[in-house]
Amino acid sequence: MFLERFIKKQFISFYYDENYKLLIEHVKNKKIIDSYEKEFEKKEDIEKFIKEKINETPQTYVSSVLLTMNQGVMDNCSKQKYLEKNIDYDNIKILCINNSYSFYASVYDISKFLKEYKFPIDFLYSIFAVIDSLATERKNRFYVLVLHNYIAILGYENYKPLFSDFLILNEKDETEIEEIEEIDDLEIFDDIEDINENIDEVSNDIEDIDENLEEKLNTLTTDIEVNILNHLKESLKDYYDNYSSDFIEKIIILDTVGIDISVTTLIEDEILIPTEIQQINLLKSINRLSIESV
Amino acid sequence: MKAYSFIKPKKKPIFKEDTKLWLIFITFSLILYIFFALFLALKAYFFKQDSQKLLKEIEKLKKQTTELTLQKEFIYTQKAIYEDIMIKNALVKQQIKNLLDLIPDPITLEKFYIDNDKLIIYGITPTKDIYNLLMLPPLESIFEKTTTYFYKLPNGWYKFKSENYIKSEDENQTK
Repeated sequence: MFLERFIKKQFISFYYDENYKLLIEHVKNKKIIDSYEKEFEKKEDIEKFIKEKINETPQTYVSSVLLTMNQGVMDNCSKQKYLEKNIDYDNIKILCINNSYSFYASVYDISKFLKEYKFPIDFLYSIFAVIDSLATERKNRFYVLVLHNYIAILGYENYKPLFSDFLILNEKDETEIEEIEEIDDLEIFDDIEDINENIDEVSNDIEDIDENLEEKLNTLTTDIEVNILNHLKESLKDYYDNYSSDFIEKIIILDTVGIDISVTTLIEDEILIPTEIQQINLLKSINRLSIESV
Repeated sequence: MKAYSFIKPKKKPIFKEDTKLWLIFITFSLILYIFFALFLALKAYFFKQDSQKLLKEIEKLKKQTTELTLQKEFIYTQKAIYEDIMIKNALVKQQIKNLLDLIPDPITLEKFYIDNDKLIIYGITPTKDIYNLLMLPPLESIFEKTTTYFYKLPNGWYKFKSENYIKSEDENQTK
């Protein structure tokens, strides 16, 4: 519509990685006027915030990215190809790109994600689709998107995405922390009458837990590079064994968390493939896709 | 641009609900304003036409008034003439009556001519004396100059012509 050109649109992108990360961009005639980022600890807070923003501006488009295991890429759009790979064709949603390759995700995951939030979501992307939109070099390349809790790998052979892998990091640790907190809460509620007596002990316990958490987080941040390396090794093995015999010529790490630059040396030494790091803003990339789609 | 999203966005309203209400209100007001302006323009147009018609009517009525004034003046003139004539006629009538009262029984009147300042009487009298005694004195008392001509008839009576002037002929001539 002609009038829409002159109307300010609001694009919100968000995803959960350790906490809720959100980016708001105001766009007029496909040009970004202003933008700002926010982070939320609680789901209720981000829900309240986005609802308010939608109420303020009717032309608001909310976008997010699917960070689940049951998604991937296929170098074809045909049903036959999916059946060959033993993928449950009836329970996935397929997005065919240029009749050449396709992204897929579990219908269950998509509907679960859409029902999870109390506000309407307008665009939902596969994490591999976002990587594909960022991929400038496409000949025998491996793209590794690194988040705090997730690693997504997309492998290209002859300009076409052929291989995808998704890894959830720190899954166990998160549950452990949650369990500790729950137990801690229960103890406090059960022994509510003895709180005054045991207050010093409890505070000491909390300090201990905090120290343990810090130690764990330190090891995790140092571990992420090792995680990338190990996962890359496995993925490359899988790629050469099951997908292509063409050598991967370059690994491009799309970094969203600020990983140590030494990882490139580490990978080059271990796998002997040239590696480079590109700093990206995943929220901006998601919004860019939405802005182009509207 | 490739469509990368698994879902499509719903159509977004351009304006908020309250903005929509405002826009509807403003549009409605504008429409009303335009209609009112058109109504006024039409009204002005018809008023102008009416005023032109009325001006023409006024011109026509003015002409008619002038004509009527002229007619009225003419009628007044006519009336004045009529009244004048009526008065004169009444006077003449009275004069004739007076004249006829003047005529004594022995004298027979044949005809008479009355003008503004003269009276000419034709008649028959048995004798000149009867005329001079009975007829002449009242005539002389009314008119300034009286001249009588007698013509003897075969039976011995006299036919006479009496010319009577309120002012003498000489005076009339000099005037």
